[in-house]
Amino acid sequence: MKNFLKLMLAASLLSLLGCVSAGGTLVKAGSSIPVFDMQVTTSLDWAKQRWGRFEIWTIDGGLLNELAIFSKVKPNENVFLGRRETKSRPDGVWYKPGLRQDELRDLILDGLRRQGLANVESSNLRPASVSGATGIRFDTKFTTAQGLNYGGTIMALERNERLTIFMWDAPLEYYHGRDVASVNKLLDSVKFVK
Amino acid sequence: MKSPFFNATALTLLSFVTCCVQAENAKPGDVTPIAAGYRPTLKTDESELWYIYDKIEINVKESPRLIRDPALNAYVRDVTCKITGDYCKDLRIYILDVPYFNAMMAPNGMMVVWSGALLRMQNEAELALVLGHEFGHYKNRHQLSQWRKAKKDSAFLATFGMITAGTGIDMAASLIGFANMAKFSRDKEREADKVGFEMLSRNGYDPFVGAQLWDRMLREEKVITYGKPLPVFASHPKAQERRDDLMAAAQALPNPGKKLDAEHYRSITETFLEKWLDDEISRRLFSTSLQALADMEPGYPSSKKGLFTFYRAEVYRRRNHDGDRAMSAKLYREAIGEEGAPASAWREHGLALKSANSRAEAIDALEKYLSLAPHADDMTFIDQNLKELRTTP
Repeated sequence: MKNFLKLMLAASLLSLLGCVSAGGTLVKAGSSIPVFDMQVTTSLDWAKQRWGRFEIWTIDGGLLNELAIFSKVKPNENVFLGRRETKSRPDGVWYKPGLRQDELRDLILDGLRRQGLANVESSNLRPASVSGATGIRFDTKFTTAQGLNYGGTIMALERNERLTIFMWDAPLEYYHGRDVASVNKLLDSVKFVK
Repeated sequence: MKSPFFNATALTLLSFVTCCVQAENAKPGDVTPIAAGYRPTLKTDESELWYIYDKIEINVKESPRLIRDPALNAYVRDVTCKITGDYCKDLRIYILDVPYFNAMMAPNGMMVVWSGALLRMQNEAELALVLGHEFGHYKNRHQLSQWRKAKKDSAFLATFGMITAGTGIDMAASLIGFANMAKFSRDKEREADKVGFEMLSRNGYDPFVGAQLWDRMLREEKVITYGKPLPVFASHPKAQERRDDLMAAAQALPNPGKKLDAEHYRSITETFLEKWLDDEISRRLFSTSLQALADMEPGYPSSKKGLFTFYRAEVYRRRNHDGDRAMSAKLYREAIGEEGAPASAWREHGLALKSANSRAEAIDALEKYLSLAPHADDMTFIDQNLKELRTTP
């Protein structure tokens, strides 16, 4: 997500640097908070910013750790929101309900590649189940155009023909190792409440 | 992929060029072919153009897309040296992992070849032609005359915008791509084609490969019914005309060479075949990938048949239009009976059978996959599928 959300990040970083005064919110470690139609518990402190069906959470700034949450992605919509499928764009990373779990992973990985990330890899694909909604969780690695190596974890859940994605990444140097267990615990805590 | 930092750097460099260099009297046409060992005189517009590309080259060297495999790099360099002779020492070749057909030449001697081009080439003769064509741009200093023309043009600021905007592929690749997107004129492309063709034929390569390569690219272009043209066509207009010119030139040769060196080419590039095919289908340009696969397969021995059938199946499955699932299931079944099918073909065959409710067969196929890929990173996912097949009534 390093570049896909650059514009939004630029705006958000300003607000995050300024103590999240421009609509951002602090999430305290140990709190359980609503996120769209879900409830999430975190053992880390985060600053978060929301745009429509999309939220970004970060601890140290978007380049050092970033949890992107995409909510209720609709059929034929880009898996990372934004554009929709049209006749002139039939082969994009459009979400289609009922894809197999590995196909959903491939779609998300293709979406990352389309953002210009290099050496995109995944591992440890495993099933995920949240409040009756089924989905997947898998780990990723990629390199940004600037040559920084990132690792992360992605969870994608299908519910009522809508897709929810949690996408966390951090530089493999220090930050990924520091937070990977806590982030996975956060993902374990996700519950649909609406 | 845009890099604000780099765009700012490029813009600064370009501004420096426009304000400080002494080329007021130079005309776009005032360029002569470059000599081997040439370096531009300092404080000329050409030296500043080289300076910009020297800076870009630093980024290319550090690009995460740079393929550093020693054998592949040595091979491409050897072919370059074979055809360019004394100029070889002036050229630096970078192979970038970008799954589109393209190659580019910078005025300072930096040559870039994308992996999508290497995937599509079928022999050394085709590689020599492409490298020779790019060298033709260098030898005839096309970028310099292009640069001078752009600066005299009222659209210069628009060119600024193009150079600094990025292509969405990758910072290094995008900047070079944009340099090329200031399209060369038809005459300059023809001139580069002539250089490439001359080098091809002089070195005993089969001169008909030029027309054959363009035929394949044109077939890919024709199946695209939407979106932007492929990079190679964005920067190379009048493809059909150029293909015809190459064919006519080959036919006019009294004793055309026969050298293809296909086996040698494959022996070097085969290491990357599966990786490049994965990248190819990840572009999600499904119709062109199907065409490319159909064109590539005859260039490989039958030991790769199962691999190509598998990737055709993968394209249909990912495209997922009406009828594509059935087609992919059919092709997976074919692939597992053919030589060279990867372990993944058994996985996909098994999952297709599961969807068709052919449980016993699906279990066999998935178990076969796990036996062929005992350390598969999707083992948990496959185990879950096996469990469902064994327990769900």
